[in-house]
Amino acid sequence: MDAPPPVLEDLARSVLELDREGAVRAAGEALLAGVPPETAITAGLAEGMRRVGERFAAKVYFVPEVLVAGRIFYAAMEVLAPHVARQPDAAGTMVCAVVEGDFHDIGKNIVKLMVEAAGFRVVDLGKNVPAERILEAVERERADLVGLSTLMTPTLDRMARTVKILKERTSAAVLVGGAPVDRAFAAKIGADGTAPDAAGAVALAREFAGRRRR
Amino acid sequence: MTPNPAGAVLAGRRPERLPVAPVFGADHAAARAGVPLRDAMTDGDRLAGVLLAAHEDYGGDLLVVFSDVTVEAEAMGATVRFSPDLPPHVAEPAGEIRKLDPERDGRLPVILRAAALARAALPPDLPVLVSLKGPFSLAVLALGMDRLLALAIEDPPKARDAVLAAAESQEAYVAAIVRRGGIPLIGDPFASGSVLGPGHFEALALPGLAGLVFAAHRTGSPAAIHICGDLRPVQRLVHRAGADLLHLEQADFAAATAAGSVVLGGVPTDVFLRDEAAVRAAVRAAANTAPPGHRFILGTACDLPTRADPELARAMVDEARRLPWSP
Ligand code: B1M
Repeated sequence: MDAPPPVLEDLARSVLELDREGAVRAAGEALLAGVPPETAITAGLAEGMRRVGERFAAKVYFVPEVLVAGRIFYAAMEVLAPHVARQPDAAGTMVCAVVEGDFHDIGKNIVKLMVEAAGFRVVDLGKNVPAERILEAVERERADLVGLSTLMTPTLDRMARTVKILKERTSAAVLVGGAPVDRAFAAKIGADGTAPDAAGAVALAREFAGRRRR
Repeated sequence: MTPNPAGAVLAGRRPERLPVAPVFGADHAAARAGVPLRDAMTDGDRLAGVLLAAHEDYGGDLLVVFSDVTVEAEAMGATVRFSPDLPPHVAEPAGEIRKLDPERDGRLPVILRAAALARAALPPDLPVLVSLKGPFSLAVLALGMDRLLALAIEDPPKARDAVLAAAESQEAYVAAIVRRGGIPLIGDPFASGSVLGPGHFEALALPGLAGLVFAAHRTGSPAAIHICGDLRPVQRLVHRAGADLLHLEQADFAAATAAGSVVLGGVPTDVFLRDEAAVRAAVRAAANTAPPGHRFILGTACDLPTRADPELARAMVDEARRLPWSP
């Protein structure tokens, strides 16, 4: 098997080292070297974001670093995206939101970034989102997955109500997360799964999107 | 009458019993009194009224005057939304940081009025802490999170300037709080180790916190800091701010007292959404893991949830007072 072109490692490393100029330059170099842009995105930029997620989990990186890595990811994407011959099928579509009553969106933003970097189309409805608006978006976007987040114990009830409505009215897999959410709670409210962090959310999203395609 | 044990601990003396304090804000106090949140948060007399009523009911050893996290950002021009049953939030940041006049701007005079009323109503040795935002969190709330957190990496001098401007504005607020007899309690939720790493904490949060603690000390007042979430990644830096009291959630309490601060906390707030047995067990657990020495006030790790059952706050105080204690 051919060794991967070094420019892919440059892309991944630039995202990881929060080097915006480096990432944009490497994106251009990848195109000049004839690397398919799809490969540059998945094996370069997305790989960089995956490593960012590892550093975040290890408490080497914190929230500002992850948000800036996300901005760098999108800056380099802007160079690559126009050259993608055909928009590749997204790994799946996820609608994500912080449930009604809760304005904590830092964790949701990180989950969104990581899921998007893993190749999903993500429709972000923001924070304090009523169940009905989530339902409407899931139907409109034909979403495969829903990602719900909450950080507050009092809003767990609203999460439960949202999951109930979505499970009754759609076939989307519903993933839930946030500090007060654990497996027992997720199972009790009928959610399809939960993960303690963004990397876990990506793994779950892959698993459920894969199941729906089979 | 027994001297107030929280006041004693803050003054560096051994208390005659374990001090205890369920910490709550206007949201909880107004909800339990049946007063609309917005009314309590915009009128100093009503704010003091609901806080004092809850304090009298629960019988804690200190009082915190806290309305909500948006007060200063709103005064700087941020759009704040109130809703009937939730603390208000910033819907649109101010986009700039300007120097506030605490006697005039926004709801700062409301908080100061409540502080003065609370101080006058309570025994002189019972500490009245008055909450204000830490400069880093104020800069985030006034400018917007994405903007400030991105500046922190992309243009650190600009981020530092923004935080210093917020700190300069808060210095006048600290002085105004002390004039009302309150102890400034600097709340900095965005500087939590759940959000910031040590590098950014040191560069962005610490200078403003240290500056405000010094501003309080210059007037002869102690100063307190409240940071919730996981403090451990940044805790040793928090000690450098020199606060007399630290109100903390996930932290190494023994390290904080060894560094010279009194610690307030120990009881997780989610037990107040469970039952009395859970609260009582959490109080005993907090007492068992208390730091050595007498620099500890057994308190809630953060504010009581808005809808926490008052019965459970009473149970917290009752359980703490039953614990064996040797002065
Ligand atoms: C779909 O699948 C998935 C899978 C994984 C998922 C997922 C979805 N969603 C999240 N995850 C997971 O992956 C993420 C990345 O690894 C992780 O996300 P996290 O969000 O957990 O982690 C973030 C990366 C970093 N962590 C955070 O961002 C939260 C940190 C703490 C300090 C916190 C902050 C910063 C804030 N707060 Co507030 N705040 C606290 C927090 C303390 C704590 N103990 O956590 C908490 C959450 N706050 C609380 C409270 C009560 C409040 N806050 C309030 C306000 C704020 C700020 C505005 C100041 C700010 C929020 C800014 C924002 N835009 O998000 C108020 C809430 C207003 C409202 N209605 O929402 C207010 C009510 C305070 C008040 N009286 O005004 C507490 C909730 C208590 C409870 N259990 O109910 C709290 C735990 C503090 C405490 N100890 O009491 C995982 O949970």
